Amino acid sequence: MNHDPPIRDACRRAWLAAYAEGQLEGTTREQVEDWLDQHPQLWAEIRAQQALGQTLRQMMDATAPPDPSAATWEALAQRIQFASVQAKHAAAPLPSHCRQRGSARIAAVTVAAALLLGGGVWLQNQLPGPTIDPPQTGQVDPLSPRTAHDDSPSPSPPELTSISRLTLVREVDVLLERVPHMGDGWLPIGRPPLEGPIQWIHQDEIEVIGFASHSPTQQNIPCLVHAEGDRPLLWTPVRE
Amino acid sequence: MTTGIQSLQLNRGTQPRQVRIQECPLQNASDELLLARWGQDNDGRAFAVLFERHRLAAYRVAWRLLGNEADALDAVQEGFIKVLTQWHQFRSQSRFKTWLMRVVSRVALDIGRQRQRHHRCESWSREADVQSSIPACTGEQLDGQELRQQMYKALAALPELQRQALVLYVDGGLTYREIAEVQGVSLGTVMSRLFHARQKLRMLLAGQVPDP
Repeated sequence: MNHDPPIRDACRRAWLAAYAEGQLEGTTREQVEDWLDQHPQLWAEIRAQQALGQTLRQMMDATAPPDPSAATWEALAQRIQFASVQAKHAAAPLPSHCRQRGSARIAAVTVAAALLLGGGVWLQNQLPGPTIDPPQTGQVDPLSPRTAHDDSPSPSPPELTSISRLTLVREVDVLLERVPHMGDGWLPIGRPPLEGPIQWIHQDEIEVIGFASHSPTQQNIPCLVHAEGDRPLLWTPVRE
Repeated sequence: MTTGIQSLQLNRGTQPRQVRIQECPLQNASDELLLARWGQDNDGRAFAVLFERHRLAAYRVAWRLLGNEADALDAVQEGFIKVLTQWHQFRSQSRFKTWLMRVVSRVALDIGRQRQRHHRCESWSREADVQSSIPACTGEQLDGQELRQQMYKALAALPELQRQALVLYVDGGLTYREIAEVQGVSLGTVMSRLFHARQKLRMLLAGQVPDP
Protein backbone atom coordinates (compact mmCIF):
# COMPACT_ATOMS: atom_id res chain seq x y z
CA MET A 1 0.00 0.00 0.00
CA ASN A 2 1.28 3.39 -0.91
CA HIS A 3 0.87 6.14 1.67
CA ASP A 4 3.08 8.67 -0.08
CA PRO A 5 1.53 11.92 -1.22
CA PRO A 6 0.79 11.96 -4.96
CA ILE A 7 3.57 14.39 -5.84
CA ARG A 8 6.20 12.29 -4.18
CA ASP A 9 4.76 9.17 -5.69
CA ALA A 10 4.92 10.69 -9.18
CA CYS A 11 8.48 11.79 -8.59
CA ARG A 12 9.45 8.32 -7.48
CA ARG A 13 7.75 6.75 -10.47
CA ALA A 14 9.56 9.17 -12.78
CA TRP A 15 12.88 7.96 -11.37
CA LEU A 16 11.81 4.35 -11.81
CA ALA A 17 10.74 5.09 -15.37
CA ALA A 18 14.13 6.63 -16.11
CA TYR A 19 15.77 3.53 -14.63
CA ALA A 20 13.51 1.31 -16.72
CA GLU A 21 14.64 3.19 -19.82
CA GLY A 22 18.27 2.66 -18.89
CA GLN A 23 18.88 6.38 -18.57
CA LEU A 24 20.42 6.45 -15.12
CA GLU A 25 24.09 6.03 -14.50
CA GLY A 26 26.58 6.28 -11.71
CA THR A 27 25.37 7.05 -8.24
CA THR A 28 21.80 7.77 -9.27
CA ARG A 29 21.52 4.34 -10.77
CA GLU A 30 23.03 2.77 -7.66
CA GLN A 31 20.59 4.67 -5.47
CA VAL A 32 17.64 3.34 -7.41
CA GLU A 33 19.04 -0.18 -7.30
CA ASP A 34 19.50 0.07 -3.54
CA TRP A 35 15.98 1.29 -3.35
CA LEU A 36 14.75 -1.64 -5.39
CA ASP A 37 16.66 -4.02 -3.16
CA GLN A 38 14.83 -2.61 -0.18
CA HIS A 39 11.47 -2.56 -1.94
CA PRO A 40 11.36 -5.46 -4.40
CA GLN A 41 7.68 -4.85 -5.01
CA LEU A 42 8.75 -1.81 -7.05
CA TRP A 43 10.02 -4.12 -9.79
CA ALA A 44 6.41 -4.35 -10.89
CA GLU A 45 6.49 -0.62 -11.58
CA ILE A 46 9.75 -1.01 -13.48
CA ARG A 47 8.20 -3.66 -15.69
CA ALA A 48 5.09 -1.56 -16.24
CA GLN A 49 7.16 1.45 -17.24
CA GLN A 50 9.28 -0.65 -19.57
CA ALA A 51 6.18 -2.02 -21.25
CA LEU A 52 4.65 1.43 -21.61
CA GLY A 53 7.85 2.92 -22.98
CA GLN A 54 8.29 0.10 -25.44
CA THR A 55 4.70 0.28 -26.64
CA LEU A 56 4.83 4.02 -27.17
CA ARG A 57 8.14 3.75 -28.95
CA GLN A 58 6.75 1.11 -31.28
CA MET A 59 3.73 3.28 -31.96
CA MET A 60 5.85 6.30 -32.68
CA ASP A 61 8.11 4.26 -34.94
CA ALA A 62 5.06 2.96 -36.76
CA THR A 63 3.69 6.46 -37.18
CA ALA A 64 6.91 8.12 -38.27
CA PRO A 65 6.30 10.47 -41.17
CA PRO A 66 7.18 9.21 -44.64
CA ASP A 67 10.58 10.35 -45.77
CA PRO A 68 10.68 13.20 -48.25
CA SER A 69 11.80 12.28 -51.74
CA ALA A 70 15.43 12.35 -52.80
CA ALA A 71 14.71 15.38 -54.97
CA THR A 72 13.25 17.19 -51.99
CA TRP A 73 16.33 16.48 -49.91
CA GLU A 74 18.59 17.58 -52.72
CA ALA A 75 16.75 20.85 -53.16
CA LEU A 76 16.76 21.44 -49.43
CA ALA A 77 20.48 20.76 -49.20
CA GLN A 78 21.18 23.25 -51.94
CA ARG A 79 19.08 25.94 -50.30
CA ILE A 80 20.75 25.37 -46.95
CA GLN A 81 24.24 25.43 -48.39
CA PHE A 82 23.61 28.54 -50.42
CA ALA A 83 21.94 30.43 -47.60
CA SER A 84 24.64 29.40 -45.12
CA VAL A 85 27.48 30.58 -47.33
CA GLN A 86 25.69 33.85 -47.97
CA ALA A 87 25.05 34.36 -44.27
CA LYS A 88 28.66 33.57 -43.38
CA HIS A 89 29.95 36.09 -45.83
CA ALA A 90 27.50 38.69 -44.67
CA ALA A 91 28.48 38.15 -41.06
CA ALA A 92 32.24 38.39 -41.61
CA PRO A 93 33.34 41.84 -40.45
CA LEU A 94 36.76 41.77 -42.06
CA PRO A 95 38.71 39.46 -44.31
CA SER A 96 40.55 36.86 -42.32
CA HIS A 97 44.01 38.07 -43.34
CA CYS A 98 43.12 41.46 -41.85
CA ARG A 99 41.79 40.06 -38.64
CA GLN A 100 44.83 37.92 -38.04
CA ARG A 101 47.35 40.65 -38.28
CA GLY A 102 48.49 42.58 -35.29
CA SER A 103 49.89 41.98 -31.89
CA ALA A 104 47.59 39.11 -31.00
CA ARG A 105 48.76 37.14 -33.99
CA ILE A 106 52.41 37.87 -33.25
CA ALA A 107 51.97 36.91 -29.64
CA ALA A 108 50.24 33.70 -30.58
CA VAL A 109 52.99 32.67 -32.94
CA THR A 110 55.65 33.59 -30.43
CA VAL A 111 54.03 31.55 -27.68
CA ALA A 112 53.52 28.63 -29.99
CA ALA A 113 57.10 28.81 -31.19
CA ALA A 114 58.33 28.71 -27.63
CA LEU A 115 56.09 25.77 -26.88
CA LEU A 116 57.26 24.02 -29.99
CA LEU A 117 60.87 24.41 -29.03
CA GLY A 118 60.21 23.33 -25.48
CA GLY A 119 58.16 20.38 -26.58
CA GLY A 120 60.81 19.24 -28.99
CA VAL A 121 63.52 19.42 -26.39
CA TRP A 122 61.34 17.60 -23.92
CA LEU A 123 60.65 14.85 -26.39
CA GLN A 124 64.26 14.49 -27.27
CA ASN A 125 64.91 13.71 -23.66
CA GLN A 126 61.94 11.40 -23.29
CA LEU A 127 61.32 9.51 -26.46
CA PRO A 128 63.42 6.51 -27.38
CA GLY A 129 64.05 5.95 -31.05
CA PRO A 130 64.99 8.26 -33.86
CA THR A 131 66.36 11.66 -33.12
CA ILE A 132 63.79 14.36 -33.13
CA ASP A 133 64.42 17.47 -35.07
CA PRO A 134 61.99 20.12 -33.97
CA PRO A 135 61.02 22.43 -36.79
CA GLN A 136 63.01 25.60 -37.13
CA THR A 137 60.92 28.30 -35.63
CA GLY A 138 62.21 30.80 -38.11
CA GLN A 139 61.06 28.75 -41.07
CA VAL A 140 57.90 27.07 -40.00
CA ASP A 141 54.83 28.55 -38.56
CA PRO A 142 54.26 26.20 -35.65
CA LEU A 143 50.55 26.67 -35.93
CA SER A 144 50.50 25.62 -39.52
CA PRO A 145 50.63 22.06 -40.81
CA ARG A 146 52.67 23.25 -43.77
CA THR A 147 56.38 23.35 -44.17
CA ALA A 148 58.50 26.21 -45.38
CA HIS A 149 58.97 24.27 -48.61
CA ASP A 150 55.31 24.26 -49.37
CA ASP A 151 54.92 26.76 -52.15
CA SER A 152 51.22 26.42 -52.59
CA PRO A 153 49.12 29.38 -51.56
CA SER A 154 49.04 29.65 -47.84
CA PRO A 155 45.60 29.26 -46.31
CA SER A 156 44.39 31.74 -43.78
CA PRO A 157 46.29 31.06 -40.57
CA PRO A 158 44.06 29.69 -37.87
CA GLU A 159 42.95 31.87 -35.06
CA LEU A 160 43.74 30.68 -31.59
CA THR A 161 40.12 31.13 -30.64
CA SER A 162 39.24 28.30 -32.94
CA ILE A 163 41.38 26.00 -30.87
CA SER A 164 39.42 26.52 -27.70
CA ARG A 165 36.87 24.07 -29.02
CA LEU A 166 39.38 21.26 -29.03
CA THR A 167 38.57 19.82 -25.66
CA LEU A 168 39.74 16.26 -25.64
CA VAL A 169 37.66 13.37 -24.59
CA ARG A 170 38.54 10.95 -21.87
CA GLU A 171 41.72 9.20 -21.09
CA VAL A 172 41.07 5.96 -22.88
CA ASP A 173 40.79 5.52 -26.60
CA VAL A 174 40.91 9.09 -27.65
CA LEU A 175 40.70 9.38 -31.38
CA LEU A 176 41.71 12.67 -32.89
CA GLU A 177 41.47 13.98 -36.40
CA ARG A 178 43.66 16.51 -38.00
CA VAL A 179 41.81 19.31 -39.68
CA PRO A 180 43.52 20.48 -42.82
CA HIS A 181 44.28 24.17 -42.83
CA MET A 182 43.42 24.54 -39.21
CA GLY A 183 47.03 24.47 -38.17
CA ASP A 184 46.99 22.57 -34.93
CA GLY A 185 43.36 21.77 -35.45
CA TRP A 186 42.97 18.42 -33.85
CA LEU A 187 39.45 17.43 -33.09
CA PRO A 188 38.29 14.51 -31.01
CA ILE A 189 36.09 12.06 -32.83
CA GLY A 190 34.56 8.72 -32.32
CA ARG A 191 33.70 9.00 -28.66
CA PRO A 192 30.98 11.57 -28.31
CA PRO A 193 29.82 13.03 -26.06
CA LEU A 194 32.99 14.71 -24.99
CA GLU A 195 33.59 14.38 -21.32
CA GLY A 196 36.03 16.98 -20.22
CA PRO A 197 39.70 17.56 -20.71
CA ILE A 198 42.21 14.81 -20.94
CA GLN A 199 45.09 14.89 -18.52
CA TRP A 200 48.67 15.42 -19.45
CA ILE A 201 50.02 12.47 -21.34
CA HIS A 202 53.50 11.41 -20.47
CA GLN A 203 55.66 10.11 -23.21
CA ASP A 204 56.37 6.88 -21.37
CA GLU A 205 52.66 6.12 -21.41
CA ILE A 206 52.38 6.05 -25.14
CA GLU A 207 54.03 4.58 -28.11
CA VAL A 208 54.04 6.04 -31.56
CA ILE A 209 52.94 3.33 -33.93
CA GLY A 210 52.76 5.10 -37.23
CA PHE A 211 51.60 8.01 -39.22
CA ALA A 212 49.84 8.47 -42.48
CA SER A 213 49.09 11.50 -44.51
CA HIS A 214 47.46 12.28 -47.80
CA SER A 215 49.84 15.06 -48.45
CA PRO A 216 53.61 14.95 -48.80
CA THR A 217 53.73 18.48 -47.48
CA GLN A 218 52.70 17.16 -44.11
CA GLN A 219 55.75 14.98 -43.73
CA ASN A 220 58.10 15.95 -40.96
CA ILE A 221 55.49 18.06 -39.35
CA PRO A 222 55.08 17.26 -35.71
CA CYS A 223 51.65 16.36 -34.52
CA LEU A 224 50.35 18.68 -31.91
CA VAL A 225 47.69 17.59 -29.54
CA HIS A 226 45.97 20.19 -27.52
CA ALA A 227 44.12 20.04 -24.31
CA GLU A 228 41.78 22.85 -23.54
CA GLY A 229 42.59 26.19 -24.99
CA ASP A 230 45.91 26.54 -26.70
CA ARG A 231 48.02 24.60 -24.22
CA PRO A 232 49.91 21.91 -26.05
CA LEU A 233 49.55 18.53 -24.52
CA LEU A 234 51.95 16.46 -26.50
CA TRP A 235 54.38 16.71 -29.32
CA THR A 236 55.10 13.59 -31.25
CA PRO A 237 57.61 13.25 -34.05
CA VAL A 238 56.89 11.94 -37.50
CA ARG A 239 58.64 8.69 -38.21
CA GLU A 240 59.27 7.41 -41.65
CA MET B 1 46.97 21.13 -51.11
CA THR B 2 46.03 18.90 -48.27
CA THR B 3 42.79 17.12 -48.80
CA GLY B 4 42.97 14.25 -46.40
CA ILE B 5 42.44 13.85 -42.74
CA GLN B 6 44.87 12.43 -40.29
CA SER B 7 43.75 10.65 -37.21
CA LEU B 8 45.61 10.17 -34.00
CA GLN B 9 44.56 7.60 -31.51
CA LEU B 10 45.71 7.52 -27.93
CA ASN B 11 44.99 4.47 -25.88
CA ARG B 12 45.57 5.13 -22.22
CA GLY B 13 44.88 3.30 -19.04
CA THR B 14 45.13 -0.15 -20.56
CA GLN B 15 47.98 -1.97 -22.22
CA PRO B 16 49.28 -1.28 -24.70
CA ARG B 17 49.36 2.47 -24.53
CA GLN B 18 49.92 3.78 -27.96
CA VAL B 19 49.49 6.59 -30.37
CA ARG B 20 48.31 5.88 -33.85
CA ILE B 21 47.67 8.12 -36.75
CA GLN B 22 45.60 6.77 -39.55
CA GLU B 23 43.77 8.00 -42.54
CA CYS B 24 40.16 8.74 -41.96
CA PRO B 25 37.64 8.90 -44.80
CA LEU B 26 35.30 11.83 -44.73
CA GLN B 27 32.32 9.53 -44.36
CA ASN B 28 33.74 8.32 -41.06
CA ALA B 29 34.69 11.73 -39.80
CA SER B 30 33.06 13.03 -36.67
CA ASP B 31 30.36 15.64 -36.79
CA GLU B 32 32.71 18.05 -35.08
CA LEU B 33 35.35 17.63 -37.73
CA LEU B 34 32.85 18.00 -40.54
CA LEU B 35 31.49 21.14 -38.95
CA ALA B 36 34.98 22.55 -38.61
CA ARG B 37 35.75 21.81 -42.23
CA TRP B 38 32.56 23.47 -43.27
CA GLY B 39 33.29 26.48 -41.12
CA GLN B 40 36.89 26.86 -42.19
CA ASP B 41 36.69 26.04 -45.86
CA ASN B 42 33.01 25.98 -46.82
CA ASP B 43 33.69 22.35 -47.64
CA GLY B 44 30.61 21.20 -49.52
CA ARG B 45 31.46 17.54 -49.08
CA ALA B 46 31.65 17.96 -45.33
CA PHE B 47 28.27 19.64 -45.38
CA ALA B 48 26.80 16.87 -47.52
CA VAL B 49 27.93 14.18 -45.10
CA LEU B 50 26.74 16.14 -42.10
CA PHE B 51 23.39 16.85 -43.69
CA GLU B 52 22.77 13.30 -44.78
CA ARG B 53 23.73 12.02 -41.37
CA HIS B 54 21.23 14.11 -39.44
CA ARG B 55 18.54 15.26 -41.83
CA LEU B 56 16.12 12.45 -41.15
CA ALA B 57 16.18 12.72 -37.36
CA ALA B 58 15.85 16.48 -37.61
CA TYR B 59 12.96 16.10 -40.02
CA ARG B 60 11.14 13.63 -37.83
CA VAL B 61 11.51 15.82 -34.76
CA ALA B 62 10.20 18.79 -36.69
CA TRP B 63 7.37 16.82 -38.25
CA ARG B 64 6.22 15.53 -34.87
CA LEU B 65 6.07 19.08 -33.62
CA LEU B 66 4.37 20.49 -36.71
CA GLY B 67 2.42 17.69 -38.34
CA ASN B 68 3.14 18.31 -41.99
CA GLU B 69 6.02 17.98 -44.41
CA ALA B 70 6.23 21.56 -45.64
CA ASP B 71 6.52 23.12 -42.20
CA ALA B 72 8.88 20.38 -41.03
CA LEU B 73 11.20 20.98 -43.99
CA ASP B 74 11.14 24.71 -43.24
CA ALA B 75 12.20 23.98 -39.68
CA VAL B 76 14.99 21.67 -40.83
CA GLN B 77 16.22 24.26 -43.29
CA GLU B 78 16.23 27.08 -40.78
CA GLY B 79 17.82 24.90 -38.12
CA PHE B 80 20.65 23.76 -40.37
CA ILE B 81 21.30 27.27 -41.59
CA LYS B 82 21.56 28.49 -38.01
CA VAL B 83 24.04 25.88 -36.91
CA LEU B 84 26.11 26.18 -40.07
CA THR B 85 26.38 29.94 -39.85
CA GLN B 86 27.05 29.87 -36.12
CA TRP B 87 29.41 26.90 -36.28
CA HIS B 88 32.09 28.77 -34.36
CA GLN B 89 29.80 28.91 -31.35
CA PHE B 90 29.70 25.14 -31.10
CA ARG B 91 31.25 23.86 -27.93
CA SER B 92 32.52 20.32 -27.88
CA GLN B 93 31.10 19.68 -24.46
CA SER B 94 28.04 18.31 -26.20
CA ARG B 95 27.40 16.41 -29.34
CA PHE B 96 26.73 18.26 -32.57
CA LYS B 97 23.51 16.32 -32.84
CA THR B 98 22.32 17.65 -29.50
CA TRP B 99 22.97 21.17 -30.66
CA LEU B 100 21.23 20.60 -33.97
CA MET B 101 18.20 19.02 -32.33
CA ARG B 102 17.94 21.90 -29.91
CA VAL B 103 17.94 24.42 -32.72
CA VAL B 104 15.58 22.48 -34.99
CA SER B 105 13.09 21.74 -32.23
CA ARG B 106 13.04 25.36 -31.12
CA VAL B 107 12.51 26.54 -34.67
CA ALA B 108 9.72 24.02 -35.06
CA LEU B 109 8.03 25.16 -31.87
CA ASP B 110 8.32 28.76 -33.02
CA ILE B 111 6.76 27.90 -36.36
CA GLY B 112 4.01 26.03 -34.54
CA ARG B 113 3.29 29.04 -32.36
CA GLN B 114 3.14 31.35 -35.35
CA ARG B 115 0.82 28.96 -37.07
CA GLN B 116 -1.41 28.75 -34.03
CA ARG B 117 -1.71 32.50 -33.95
CA HIS B 118 -2.96 32.39 -37.51
CA HIS B 119 -5.35 29.57 -36.89
CA ARG B 120 -6.73 30.15 -33.46
CA CYS B 121 -10.06 28.85 -34.56
CA GLU B 122 -8.60 25.41 -34.85
CA SER B 123 -9.15 23.69 -31.58
CA TRP B 124 -8.37 20.15 -32.53
CA SER B 125 -5.18 20.19 -30.56
CA ARG B 126 -7.00 20.61 -27.29
CA GLU B 127 -7.06 17.60 -25.16
CA ALA B 128 -10.81 17.21 -25.08
CA ASP B 129 -10.99 17.20 -28.84
CA VAL B 130 -8.19 14.73 -29.09
CA GLN B 131 -9.81 12.39 -26.65
CA SER B 132 -13.12 12.60 -28.45
CA SER B 133 -11.46 11.98 -31.80
CA ILE B 134 -9.77 8.79 -30.75
CA PRO B 135 -11.88 5.73 -31.37
CA ALA B 136 -13.51 4.48 -28.23
CA CYS B 137 -13.47 0.88 -29.24
CA THR B 138 -10.39 -0.68 -27.79
CA GLY B 139 -8.17 -2.86 -29.83
CA GLU B 140 -9.30 -1.42 -33.12
CA GLN B 141 -6.42 -1.26 -35.58
CA LEU B 142 -6.10 2.02 -37.44
CA ASP B 143 -4.43 2.27 -40.79
CA GLY B 144 -1.05 3.97 -41.04
CA GLN B 145 -2.19 7.42 -42.07
CA GLU B 146 -4.99 7.57 -39.55
CA LEU B 147 -2.79 6.28 -36.77
CA ARG B 148 -0.16 8.88 -37.65
CA GLN B 149 -2.68 11.65 -37.34
CA GLN B 150 -3.99 10.27 -34.06
CA MET B 151 -0.49 10.17 -32.69
CA TYR B 152 0.19 13.69 -33.87
CA LYS B 153 -2.96 14.97 -32.25
CA ALA B 154 -2.17 13.17 -29.03
CA LEU B 155 1.32 14.66 -29.01
CA ALA B 156 -0.11 18.09 -29.75
CA ALA B 157 -2.24 17.80 -26.66
CA LEU B 158 0.80 17.49 -24.43
CA PRO B 159 2.29 20.57 -22.80
CA GLU B 160 4.92 21.98 -25.12
CA LEU B 161 7.97 21.07 -23.05
CA GLN B 162 6.73 17.53 -22.43
CA ARG B 163 6.11 17.12 -26.14
CA GLN B 164 9.53 18.47 -27.02
CA ALA B 165 11.20 16.17 -24.51
CA LEU B 166 9.38 13.09 -25.74
CA VAL B 167 10.02 13.81 -29.40
CA LEU B 168 13.68 14.52 -28.79
CA TYR B 169 13.95 11.27 -26.87
CA VAL B 170 12.13 8.98 -29.28
CA ASP B 171 12.66 10.56 -32.68
CA GLY B 172 15.75 12.63 -32.02
CA GLY B 173 17.57 9.85 -30.22
CA LEU B 174 18.81 12.09 -27.44
CA THR B 175 19.46 10.84 -23.94
CA TYR B 176 17.77 12.21 -20.85
CA ARG B 177 20.90 14.14 -20.05
CA GLU B 178 21.08 15.66 -23.51
CA ILE B 179 17.44 16.66 -23.32
CA ALA B 180 18.19 18.35 -20.01
CA GLU B 181 20.91 20.28 -21.78
CA VAL B 182 18.62 21.21 -24.65
CA GLN B 183 15.87 22.42 -22.33
CA GLY B 184 18.21 23.96 -19.79
CA VAL B 185 16.75 22.03 -16.87
CA SER B 186 17.87 19.38 -14.43
CA LEU B 187 17.88 15.68 -15.16
CA GLY B 188 15.08 15.25 -12.63
CA THR B 189 12.90 17.69 -14.51
CA VAL B 190 13.41 15.74 -17.71
CA MET B 191 12.51 12.53 -15.92
CA SER B 192 9.34 14.14 -14.70
CA ARG B 193 8.43 15.57 -18.10
CA LEU B 194 8.95 12.29 -19.88
CA PHE B 195 7.11 10.33 -17.23
CA HIS B 196 4.07 12.60 -17.38
CA ALA B 197 4.21 12.72 -21.17
CA ARG B 198 4.03 8.94 -21.35
CA GLN B 199 1.24 8.72 -18.82
CA LYS B 200 -0.76 11.32 -20.65
CA LEU B 201 -0.18 9.70 -24.02
CA ARG B 202 -1.34 6.41 -22.61
CA MET B 203 -4.52 8.11 -21.51
CA LEU B 204 -5.01 9.89 -24.81
CA LEU B 205 -4.33 6.82 -26.85
CA ALA B 206 -6.48 4.58 -24.72
CA GLY B 207 -7.36 1.58 -26.78
CA GLN B 208 -4.10 1.75 -28.68
CA VAL B 209 -1.82 1.46 -25.67
CA PRO B 210 -2.64 -1.40 -23.34
CA ASP B 211 -2.80 -0.73 -19.62
CA PRO B 212 0.21 -2.08 -17.81
